Amino acid sequence: MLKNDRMRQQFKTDVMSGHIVRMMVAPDALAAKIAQSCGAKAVFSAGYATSASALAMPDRGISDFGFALERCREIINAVDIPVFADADTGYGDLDNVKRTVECYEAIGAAGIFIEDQVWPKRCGHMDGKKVEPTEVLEAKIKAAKAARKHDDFLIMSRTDARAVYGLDDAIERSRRYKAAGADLIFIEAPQSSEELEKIHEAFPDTPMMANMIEDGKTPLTKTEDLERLGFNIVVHPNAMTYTQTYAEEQLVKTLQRDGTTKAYKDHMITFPKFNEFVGLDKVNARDAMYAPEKMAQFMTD
Amino acid sequence: MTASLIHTLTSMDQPIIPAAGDGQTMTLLSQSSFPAIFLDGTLTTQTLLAENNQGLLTLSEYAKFCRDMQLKKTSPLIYDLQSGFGSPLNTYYAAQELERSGADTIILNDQTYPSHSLNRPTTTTPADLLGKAKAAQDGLENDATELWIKLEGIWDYGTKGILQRIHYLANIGADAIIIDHYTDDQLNTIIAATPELPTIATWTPNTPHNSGITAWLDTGCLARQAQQARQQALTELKKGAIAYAEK
Repeated sequence: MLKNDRMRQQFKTDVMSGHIVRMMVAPDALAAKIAQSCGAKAVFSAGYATSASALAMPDRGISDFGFALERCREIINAVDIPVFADADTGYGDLDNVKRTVECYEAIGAAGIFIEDQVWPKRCGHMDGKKVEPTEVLEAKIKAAKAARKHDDFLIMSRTDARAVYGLDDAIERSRRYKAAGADLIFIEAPQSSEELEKIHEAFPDTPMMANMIEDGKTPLTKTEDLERLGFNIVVHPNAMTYTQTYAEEQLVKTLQRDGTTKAYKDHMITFPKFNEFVGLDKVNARDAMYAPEKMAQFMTD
Repeated sequence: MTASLIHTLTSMDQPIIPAAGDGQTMTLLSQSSFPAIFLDGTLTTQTLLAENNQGLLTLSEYAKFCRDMQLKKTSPLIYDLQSGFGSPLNTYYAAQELERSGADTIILNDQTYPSHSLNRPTTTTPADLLGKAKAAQDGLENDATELWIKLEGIWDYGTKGILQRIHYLANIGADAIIIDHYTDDQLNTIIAATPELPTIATWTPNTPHNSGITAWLDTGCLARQAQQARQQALTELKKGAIAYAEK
């Protein structure tokens, strides 16, 4: 079975297994490879991290489809676990949604979510969000379902209405998104454990995602507790970005203070270990496989 | 999309595989009934970079174009691996990248890197070509993806060199070969020797018939016609501009 088919099937199986799938958002291919090496079953490619790593900009709708797609593709190519993707609002109208689905499916994503914010959107845990009328994402979900070539390319609806109109409206919208064809439901930024429970009670039979942002609107909840609440996916969207930022800041401060990185070296992976991690030996071995002397076996009469 | 493009071509009456290097030509060809479409490196370079030298086009730039075109795919797509975009190691990763960008068949040429759009390009050694061909094969995930080798150095190594390379490439398991920059006599000599691999030859509207050929690979017939039409339109535009100024 080809990798793209395998990844979609694997992700759907895991999500429907009854056990929660925990995903880090990987800001880049290296971060995704780290997550995989630590045993992650899947990773997420999402806007906040991509906007930060590609543009050093906040998640305010400045980073566009091109950035998001290419970053997701880099991540997919670097790992052998499923990659789920944040497709923001679908980047325009129904024609854009169609292209978005076709492209993400073609690069081998396991699925995408599409949200009901007004573009330019902002991170779900930022203030000042605006949402479209429910009909807009309903139509986008239908267009996304019509555009996908494989039933196991999962389409998730995301509503940001909790912050604008309250939880009941967010739940009602999600019901309509599910009726429009969403395979998975994501209600962004519930504000308490009680709200997390209420979301599950509203959708006892629909796979759902919870979003755990440090310093966000939703209380940080353990994965096992979210599993008990009935969530099928938990995503940690910013932790790797914040960790990279913190570590790199400390490193540069150390260098500026000491004139050398020596005092920070204990916080770094070593040169040989990093080369091993990114597969230098394997690349060198492959290079050697095609040396001219190795081709003599094919140059016979 | 197809288990064996070369098998399909063999069963046809010497089909022409048209070349495209822009979206409009791709759309036009997708709506026609060709057995495959070739996304030619030189034509793509002209579109994306306004240059005639395929060696200026990098793998990432070409692969992005290919990914956009594959969304319009209605028949098998043939991609231009050029000379592997570097060493055999680069060729391995380049083949992988082109396959996941939608290639059904990949064409590797035997030029040195960087590849050039010339009538008499510099070609590499048989050992280096075989290393690249093997690397390209190893980089492919799908068994159905074919590897064709374009031999461009007949002006240098002659028909004997062509036949020797075809033999080596058959040993390595290439799916087909393409003969480029040939004379009619040279092509006849090659065909008369009954090559060990299905043989495709590059094609222009002036190319004479040759019954031993499996298929013909267009070198940009539509693009040349389109350029002539643009030049004619430009002449009309200039005439119009002068007439407008005179008013």
